[in-house]
Amino acid sequence: MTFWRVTMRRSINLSKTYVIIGVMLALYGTILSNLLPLLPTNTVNTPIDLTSIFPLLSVAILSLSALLFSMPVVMLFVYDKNNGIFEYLLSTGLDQLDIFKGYVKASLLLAASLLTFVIVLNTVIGTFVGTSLTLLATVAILTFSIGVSVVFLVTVSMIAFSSLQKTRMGANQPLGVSIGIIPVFPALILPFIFPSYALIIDVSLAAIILLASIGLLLSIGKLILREKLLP
Amino acid sequence: MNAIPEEMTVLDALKYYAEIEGGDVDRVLDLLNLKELKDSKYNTLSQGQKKRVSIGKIFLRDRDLYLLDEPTSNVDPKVSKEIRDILIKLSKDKFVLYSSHNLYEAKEIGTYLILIKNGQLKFFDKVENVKMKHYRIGIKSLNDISRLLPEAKLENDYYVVTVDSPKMVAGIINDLVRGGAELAEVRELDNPLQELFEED
Repeated sequence: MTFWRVTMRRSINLSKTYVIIGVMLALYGTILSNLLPLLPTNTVNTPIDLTSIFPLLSVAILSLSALLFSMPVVMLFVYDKNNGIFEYLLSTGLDQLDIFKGYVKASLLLAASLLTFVIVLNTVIGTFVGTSLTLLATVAILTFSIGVSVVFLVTVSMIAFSSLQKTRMGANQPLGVSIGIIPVFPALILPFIFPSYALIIDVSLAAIILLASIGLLLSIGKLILREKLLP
Repeated sequence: MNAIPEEMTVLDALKYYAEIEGGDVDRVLDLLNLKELKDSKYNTLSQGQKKRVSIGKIFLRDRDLYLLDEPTSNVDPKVSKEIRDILIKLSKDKFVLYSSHNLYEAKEIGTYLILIKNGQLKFFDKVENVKMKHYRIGIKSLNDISRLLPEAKLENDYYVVTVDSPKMVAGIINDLVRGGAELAEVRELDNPLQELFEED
């Protein structure tokens, strides 16, 4: 079994709570996305077209579910660092970027597996309840791009900057998770305030997070230093 | 710090490292008598067992140089001896660089000594070349030898004499035996490494 596969398996075993919260949030997002067409007509008789806004709102929720689902990987990273596992791996000749890539890959694949599952589920349910295929495709693309970008952004940030992950009184405090929540948060609020710009807001956020992720990716060589993997 | 994923069984932990760096898990299980523990979770093991597993992972692959940081710290005397025996055996055909705060252990198993004090290299030579200003020799006898060694002080059943060189010990022993002493034990009371370490 490859390093990243073992890391994925260990992450899930280490912190099942985040995994469960991630799945629950993903299911909630899927339900929210497909809720309005199922409600009686009089409840959706509003000046705003909620049937198109709700699926777009679920983009942020599904992205956050992927973030929480992959959170155990960064927590495992700190656990392994403090336990001296990286120090030993480095002493065997493994490069720090190889270790880093293993954790990022595990994190992204965990997120991608949940996102793929919910996108398929959302599309199937959406088709069944009569949501337009264009809207479903838009939600699928936005969810995947924002979700994966946010997970990448948070994972790399929390690995590169140890201050984003404190261990106080034995409890790991993943402060860096706010880096993922803050940029996604406008996608939960702004579509209600500016309903006609809901799609533009989501696309803009996806672009910003994607650009930030690419920027981080380009500076990985400077951020991931050997000494940062030592206890 | 043992550098083992605590949630794994002993076998899984060794396999984890073997998958990353290669190596023979069965050989390690045999070498460190870990077969009985292989299905036990690492976090349920005693300190000594954990240390054995932790040391075991470095034997997954055959290496020319082994670097060990205090391998016998926090283990019981039995495990400590087992580890020392492995290191002595290993050092016959491999280079073993081994750090320790236990100067008696270092003297017992070390061939060369590297003394680092305040981040500075203070000494690098064979252990046998470490010289002391004075040597305190403890002599235990079954009969009273105070008249044969009037300068000796009695400390914990040992007649303690101080000499300038270990070469003087043979002469003292010969004189004692000729004088009727029934000697039970002769030992060096101080560790030369201790004096070396305490020097400014």
